[in-house]
Amino acid sequence: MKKNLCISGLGQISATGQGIKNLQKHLEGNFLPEVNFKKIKTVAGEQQVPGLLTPEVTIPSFIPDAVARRMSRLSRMCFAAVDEALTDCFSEAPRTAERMGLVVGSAYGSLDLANSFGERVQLDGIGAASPSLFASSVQNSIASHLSITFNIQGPASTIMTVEQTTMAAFRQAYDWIQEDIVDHVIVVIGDEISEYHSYFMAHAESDGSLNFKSDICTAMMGEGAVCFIISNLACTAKSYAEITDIRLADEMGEIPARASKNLIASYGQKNQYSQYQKYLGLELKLESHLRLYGSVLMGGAFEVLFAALLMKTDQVDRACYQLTSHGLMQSIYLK
Amino acid sequence: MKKSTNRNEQNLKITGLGVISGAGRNCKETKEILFGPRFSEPRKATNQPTVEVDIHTEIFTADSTRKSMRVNLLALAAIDEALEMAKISATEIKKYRVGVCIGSTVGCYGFEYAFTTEYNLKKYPAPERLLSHFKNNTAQFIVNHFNLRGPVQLVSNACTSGADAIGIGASWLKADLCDLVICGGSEAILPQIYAGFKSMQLYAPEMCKPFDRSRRGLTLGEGAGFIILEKPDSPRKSQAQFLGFMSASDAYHTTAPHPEARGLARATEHLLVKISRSKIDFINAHGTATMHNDLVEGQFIKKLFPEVPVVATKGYTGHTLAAAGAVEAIFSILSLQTQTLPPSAGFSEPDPEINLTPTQKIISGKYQTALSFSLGFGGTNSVLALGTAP
Repeated sequence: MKKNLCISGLGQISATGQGIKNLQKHLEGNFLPEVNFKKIKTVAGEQQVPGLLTPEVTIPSFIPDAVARRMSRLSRMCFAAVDEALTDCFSEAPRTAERMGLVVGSAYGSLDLANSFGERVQLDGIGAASPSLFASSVQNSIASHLSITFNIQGPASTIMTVEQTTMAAFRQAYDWIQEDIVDHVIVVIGDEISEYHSYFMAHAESDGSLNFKSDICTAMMGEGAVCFIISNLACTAKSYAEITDIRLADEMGEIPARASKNLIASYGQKNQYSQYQKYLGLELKLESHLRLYGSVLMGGAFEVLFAALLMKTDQVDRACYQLTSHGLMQSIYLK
Repeated sequence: MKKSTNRNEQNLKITGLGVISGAGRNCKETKEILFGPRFSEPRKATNQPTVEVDIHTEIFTADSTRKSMRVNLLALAAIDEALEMAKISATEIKKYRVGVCIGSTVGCYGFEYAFTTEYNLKKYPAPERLLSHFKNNTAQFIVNHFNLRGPVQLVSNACTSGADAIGIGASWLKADLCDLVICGGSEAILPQIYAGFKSMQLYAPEMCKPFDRSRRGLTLGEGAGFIILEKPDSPRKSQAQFLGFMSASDAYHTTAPHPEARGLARATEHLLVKISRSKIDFINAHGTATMHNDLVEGQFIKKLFPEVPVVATKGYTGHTLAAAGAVEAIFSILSLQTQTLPPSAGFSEPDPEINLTPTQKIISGKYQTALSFSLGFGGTNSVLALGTAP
């Protein structure tokens, strides 16, 4: 029998700050996060590239220093978001390690850490490789650290599928609960501003205004991590929103436009709004909170977070959409 | 012992297989090597002691394809074979909603090794090359190559990735997200991966010896393995059946398995609810030839399946990391098809601490159900259950 699923816990870190309260402050007050700069060397000399950077991450104090030292920036962001979401969901309820799963999603993972390991080998030879850096550069090391720290003994999976990561991560959690493998799944999705991204953006033509309706490129780098506890509704007392469907590959014309409000994942690329309209219908009003999270491929996760938070206040059902690079639409429906 | 058959109309069908590894560039060559009259040591790359595969890139007609990353070419070679076996042409495949789920580690960074080298040497390569770097994700590459319309996922769970990709593909079919799934794993070996394992003192000075008393670590290998997984009502000929999949975390250590195989035990127990333990005819062990993996995995197998034959195949292929679970699932299917188990290359003397003797010669028998184990960094454990075609 099909189970009803819900979002039962939330956590986040972004340029708006660490914690849901900081994000809500920006959302409700219509504030914009501060723009910071990453220094990057190019053939033209050192450049300052603007971006919506997260502040220094405070990770839970019970994480040993030896572990914390080896964590990538992305890993620290994910830890902060997961810790908040678990506290949000389970502060007063017990959880069973074996009935809890974990999905970590990232478009590229900890690129800077992986590259710093590779750089040392490329420049100084195979003998210069650091074993601890190697272990931390393995793509699923974030999932590994999380499963150990929070004692998650169900399945753990790391998904890295560029812009399709977010919806695939939700779908994985959805299937595990539907198949009765677990009752709850921690879904944490994050991306960091890497040196490569900064290098690319240092050469890109963009006005950096983060406008999802523009016909020119308005991208500005962003980063952050968002965590959701997805639960079998029958196993939780807390619910921000019910998840009614997750779709991974709809053709134009196949997409059920059945939500009252429609949120889109966007990066500020040119003509992004009209692209979504082509798929979803010209009459549909589309919203994006791009200005709060910046151009980041896991932006869809932020939109799902906004949908869950906003539904607490207005009780209006929402859909979040992600257009894929090969022209299919992904979506998640909340009520 | 009398065993019941796997004839279950509800099981997913495996209609195509494709594999490329140190044990052969396709299923035919692999069968000759695994079940042939004599075993020859796999070819090692000249610049580092890893097992390298000779990809016949001339099978790829487009120049742009031939220039793609090695991990993508390995995947493509195996998928081409799997589609051909399933008799699905490039035209016909467009009629279906085709899911693509791939396990890989290097395939998700899209590493263009030349770019990163130039960048790290401060040669300031053209930034446009990063666009291809960002778009080189192996799963997306395959989707674009065949112009497929369906769900796409790259899963990167270290050495269980290939098995996990098959499990995810099965979930998609059960949820009717697509009509068929191309699923498996692909891995190429970059110098930094070799350096990493060497720095952890996990690398053997000679070809690896799974479960052997004198084992001294793993040997890396590249390769890819893919299956075409379809719903039970597919009209195509079944090569084997997918009977089940489960994974679980140790929640214990980032690089070492739990001493009592906690995650592997839980994943196996979960599958054994559906498949009786007495029906398991053989096990393809993960068998990396590292001290810890083989000790923990071997003791677990010996305890739970004392009489079941065990095969360890990394002595043929090296450890193909994220591809291993899929490559070895295909080896298991080849055993089910030929009713033959291969010798476990590299093994000669049992370790008294494990007391497990994997196959030492070709063994013929009646094999209907197999388990394939995968264990990975991060404490991931996955078990695939496979059966003969009905």
